[in-house]
Amino acid sequence: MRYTGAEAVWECLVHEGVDIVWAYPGGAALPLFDALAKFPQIHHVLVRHEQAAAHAADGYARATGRVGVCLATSGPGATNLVTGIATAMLDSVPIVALTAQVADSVIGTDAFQEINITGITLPITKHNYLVRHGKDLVRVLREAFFLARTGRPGPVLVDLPKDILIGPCEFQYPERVSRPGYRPVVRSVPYQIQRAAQVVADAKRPVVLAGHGVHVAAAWEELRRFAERINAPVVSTLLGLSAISADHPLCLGMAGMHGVAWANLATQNADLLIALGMRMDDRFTGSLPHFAPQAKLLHVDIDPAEISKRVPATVPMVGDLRFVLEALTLALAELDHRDWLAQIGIWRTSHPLEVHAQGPLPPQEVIRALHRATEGEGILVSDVGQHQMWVAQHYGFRRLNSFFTSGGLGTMGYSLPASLGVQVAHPREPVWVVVGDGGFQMNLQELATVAQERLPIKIIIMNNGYLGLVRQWQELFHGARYIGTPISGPDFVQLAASYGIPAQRVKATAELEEAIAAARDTNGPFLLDCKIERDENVYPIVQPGTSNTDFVEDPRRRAQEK
Amino acid sequence: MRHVLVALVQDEPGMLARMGNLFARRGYNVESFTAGKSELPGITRVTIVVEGPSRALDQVAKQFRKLIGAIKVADVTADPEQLSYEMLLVKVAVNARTRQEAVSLADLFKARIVDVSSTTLMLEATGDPDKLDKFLEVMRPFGIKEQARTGAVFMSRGAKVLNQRPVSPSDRKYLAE
Repeated sequence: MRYTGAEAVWECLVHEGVDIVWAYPGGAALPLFDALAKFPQIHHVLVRHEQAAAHAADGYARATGRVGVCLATSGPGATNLVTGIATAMLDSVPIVALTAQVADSVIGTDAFQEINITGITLPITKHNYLVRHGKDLVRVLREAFFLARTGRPGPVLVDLPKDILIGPCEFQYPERVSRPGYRPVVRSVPYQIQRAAQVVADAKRPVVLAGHGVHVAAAWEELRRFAERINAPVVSTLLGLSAISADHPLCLGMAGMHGVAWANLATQNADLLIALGMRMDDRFTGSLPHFAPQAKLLHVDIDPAEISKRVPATVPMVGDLRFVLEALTLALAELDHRDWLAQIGIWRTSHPLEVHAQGPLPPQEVIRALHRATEGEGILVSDVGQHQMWVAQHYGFRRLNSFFTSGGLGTMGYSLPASLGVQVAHPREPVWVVVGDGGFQMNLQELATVAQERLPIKIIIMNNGYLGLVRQWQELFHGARYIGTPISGPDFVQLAASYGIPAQRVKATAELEEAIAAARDTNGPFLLDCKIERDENVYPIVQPGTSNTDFVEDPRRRAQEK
Repeated sequence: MRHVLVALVQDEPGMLARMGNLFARRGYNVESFTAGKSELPGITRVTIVVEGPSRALDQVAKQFRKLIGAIKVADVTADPEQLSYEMLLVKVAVNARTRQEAVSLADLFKARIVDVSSTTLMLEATGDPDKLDKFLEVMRPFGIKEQARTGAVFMSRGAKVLNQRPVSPSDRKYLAE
C-alpha cells in the first residue's frame, strides 16, 4: 500500500493500537495534521503547550501501561517537549515523542525553526532517531514503540523531516524488530532463585522495598502474595506507593527523606532488604554509609545497570518482577516474622504520623479529608513539593497503581498536564490533582485543555503563597531567609471560572468535607483553592547527609508530650 | 585508574555521540577513542581508553551496554592476554649534525623514516602505546615539531575473539541462559 510519509506515520500508530495523541501543530508538522483527517480512529488532543503534551502522554502511559504518544513541530515545539521527555526518562515511562523537522535538504543550515532535537534529547531518551530516508520510516516507528515499552521502558523520540512526511512511503509493517545487542533480560536462572530463596529464608528481619518497577511490571498481585508468603513488611519508594494497598497489614508506607518513621526504622534495622524495581535513589537511602548497615541486599531489577549502582547487592537478580516474584514465592515455604512485625508495630505506635498543625486549615487535613471522601480509592496525580509529601504520607492508597507523580526528575508543573492522560485512561471516574500554587502556575494553561476535552479532573490547589518545600529548606538550612520563595498568584476561583470550570475556595477544616464532596459529585472538572497554613513544614524529615534513623519529627509533638 | 573498553557497535548515525556522552556527562576525559570497521558487516569496533575511578567506570560500561546499537562491550583493562598497538607519526627537527643520530635512534625503535626535508624528519612508529611514549621521550631533545597518534587498538592473543567472548563473570550472573 502506498502512502505519504505522514499517512504512514498514522498507519503505524494504528498498528500499535494508539488511539490518542497529545499534540501541538506547527509549520513542519502540517503534513501530519493534514493526514490525520484520514484516521478518525486516532483522537488528537490539542494541548496549550508542548510540555503538557509530553506529560499527558506520560500520565496516560503510567496509568495504562501502554505507550503514550505526543507530537510537536520542529524547533521550539520540539524543545518544549524536553522537560516532559526527561521526566519520562527518569521514571522509566514508555512514551514515543514525534517531532517534525525541517526538510532534509536544509538540515544543518540553521533553517527557520530548525533545531538538532536528536542531539538535545540524546541523554534523556532511551533511544532516538532522525529519519533520513522514506524507506526507513516505518521500520523506525516500529522500533520506537518496541524499544519504548520493552525491557526498562523509556521515552523514544523520532524526528521526522517535512519532505519525508510529504514524500511517498511504501507501507509494510514489519512483524519483527531486529536490534542486535538489544536483549532485555526477563527470566532469571533457577540457581539465582534458589540462592535468593535461601537468603530470604535465613533472614530474621526482612523488609520488602517496592519501587516503581512493581507498577511497570504490573506485579501487584505477585508482590502481595510474596510478602504474605514470607510474612515481611512492605516499604514503598515514592513511586512505589499504591503497589500494595495501604490497608494491608504488611504495608508500611513510604520511607526516605520524608518517609514515615516506622518505615525508616524498619528499613534501617532490617537484616535483609528485598529491593524490587527500585534504584536506591538518594532521597530514599539518605546518607549511604549509614543506610541499613546490617542488611544484606537482594536486588531485583530489569536493568542490570541499577544493580550495585549505589548499594552493593548480596544477591543480584535481573528480570521481570512478575516472573521473579512468582518463582521466589514458589521456592519459599511460609515464613513467620511476628516478632519483627511486632517491633515495627511498636515503632508505629511510638512515632505516629499525627497532624500537629494549628490554624484554620492544616494541609495534612486536606489530604486526610480527600482520603475520606474517596475512601482511599481515588486516583491521584500530585505535583512536586510539600503537598506531594503530604499526599505520600497521609493519603493511604487503597487502590493499586493509583498514584502518579514525577519522582526522579521532580518536575514542578507535572500534575495538571499529566492528569489529562491519567483521566483519559480512567474515563469513568474523576482524577484528583493535588498541586501547589507554584506548580499549578507552571502549567495552568492546561485548564483550557481540561475544559475543551470536558475531562472531569478535580484540582486541589494547596495554596500557601510559598514555594513551600524550598521555603522549608530555607527555614531549616538557610537561616530562614525566604528569598525567591514567596509567590503570588491570581484569584484561582475566578481564573477557573473564566475557563468555565466551577471552583470554590476553602479556608477552614470545617469546610473541607462539603467542598470535596461538591467537587466529587460535580459532573465535570472542579477546582478547589485551599488556603492552607503558610508556614507548615513536612515532618518527619531526614536532613541531607544524615542517616534515615535520625529523622526529625515535628517539634510540636514533643511540646505536646511535655 | 586507566581503563580500556573494547566494543562492537552498529554503524549508524549518532552512535559516536551516544558513546561520547557516557563519559562527558561524568566529566571523564577520554585519552583515546578509535573506531573502524570490524570483521562483521555494518559493525564498528571501537576502543576507548579512559581515566577514571573503577567503580564509576564499571557503571559506564553497564550504561554502554544499554545503548541501543551496542552489541558487545568488554572492559579488557585487567586482561593479561590483550595486545595493544598504536601508530604514531612524528616530525622532528634535525640538521646536518643531528640527523644521523636521530636516524639511529629511530632504528632502535624500529621506526620508519617516511619523509625527509632539510630541517625535519618524519618518522612512523607502531607498537605498544608505552613503547611509543618512550620513543617520543628520546626524540624530544631534537625538537618535536608535530605529532599525531591514532590511539590504541586492543586484541586478545590466541583463538579467542571479542564477538564470542564470554560475558564477564560480573555480567554473567545477570544474564539468563
